[in-house]
Amino acid sequence: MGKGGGQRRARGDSGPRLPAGRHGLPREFVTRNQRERIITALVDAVAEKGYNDTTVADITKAASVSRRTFYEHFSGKEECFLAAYEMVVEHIRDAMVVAAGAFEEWPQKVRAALATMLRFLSGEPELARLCLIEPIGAGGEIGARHRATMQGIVEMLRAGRPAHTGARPLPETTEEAVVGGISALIVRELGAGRAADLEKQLPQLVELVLAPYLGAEEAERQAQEPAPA
Amino acid sequence: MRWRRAERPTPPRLESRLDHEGEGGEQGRANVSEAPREWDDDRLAAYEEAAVELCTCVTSAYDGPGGWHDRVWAAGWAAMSFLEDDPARARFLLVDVNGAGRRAQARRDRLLQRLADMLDGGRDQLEDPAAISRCTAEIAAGAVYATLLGRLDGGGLEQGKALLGELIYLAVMPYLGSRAAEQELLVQPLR
Repeated sequence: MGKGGGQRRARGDSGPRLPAGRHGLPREFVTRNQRERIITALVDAVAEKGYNDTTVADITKAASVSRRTFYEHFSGKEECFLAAYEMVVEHIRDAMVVAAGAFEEWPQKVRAALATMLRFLSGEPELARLCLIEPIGAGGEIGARHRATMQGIVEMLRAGRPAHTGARPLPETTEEAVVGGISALIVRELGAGRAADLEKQLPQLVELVLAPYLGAEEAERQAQEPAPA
Repeated sequence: MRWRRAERPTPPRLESRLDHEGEGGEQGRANVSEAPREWDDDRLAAYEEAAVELCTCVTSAYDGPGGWHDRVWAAGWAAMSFLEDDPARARFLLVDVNGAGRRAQARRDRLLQRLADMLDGGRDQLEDPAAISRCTAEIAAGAVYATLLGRLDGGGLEQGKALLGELIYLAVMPYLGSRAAEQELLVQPLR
């Protein structure tokens, strides 16, 4: 497991392989094992070549499965990618919810959730690219699913509206813009090969998220607090 | 209007098809449909042309008279007018580019960098310009882009200028502070 709890693999190793021939293993086990190997192989292939340049042949080769087996599990590369994407996003979301749950106040919840997300992404740069950079370039159903994921974060942030201290009501677009800003910062760092330093961006992100709700000065103060363990 | 001619769907590139040589039958066809959707040179050139047009229009507004805050408004107004003026071109510039491969995205990123340059001018408003890094402007540019993308995905930018106050509120807050930024929400742009 990596720092954030994701599964780590050595490049080119798509996990344990089943013995060839008639191994006598239950079909359900074989099927699950194959599916996981295929998904793992996709993650490796996408990390190396990017989604658009990855072919089904790349995936089947890395997973050591036949094309027939691949298509028994997935209708194509896009569906396979979406399976990986959902696994990663669900993992991050669950970890963020747990981290936030340890605090009572909304600003601390935000801070804990962001810290958890950054810790995971910095420990798993390949998965970070998979869930934040590749969907933007992939378009189609993957792009749509990614926008839905971002919309989910927008809804989570709306929980902070009662904390708003400003004289004017918050604009409707606030959360959408904040999520766009978070994404822009992380994508920038990943693109520059600075995934390992992502956790250093926590104060910047905390300030970005809290400023519209608490005001720039209070957000800056909160941003300087030590990161949650 | 070169970009309009480039709107037609581009067939999968020959190289992509050849990559899958020998993968015949039903599964081979499945791979062709999954071929990279990278824009060809014509579409990229069309994108470049539209992007330069947008940049020229926005930069010329930003380089006009007045302080930074006024020039940000002028640039925002010019950008929204440009995008509202031709919704299909706006989608081409901001939405379609996302599924168009790395070269196209690199060009889109240059557009966003230009926006960040303008917002970064806000540091001169501070007593200590080094108190905020350029990263803040890049985040703000990303936030503006995400909002526009959301609007375009949800239908269009017909009311784009009405959105300007909200966008500028968020973009200038790091430089001017919350209270001053809130004044942007009171501005009702004339159409």
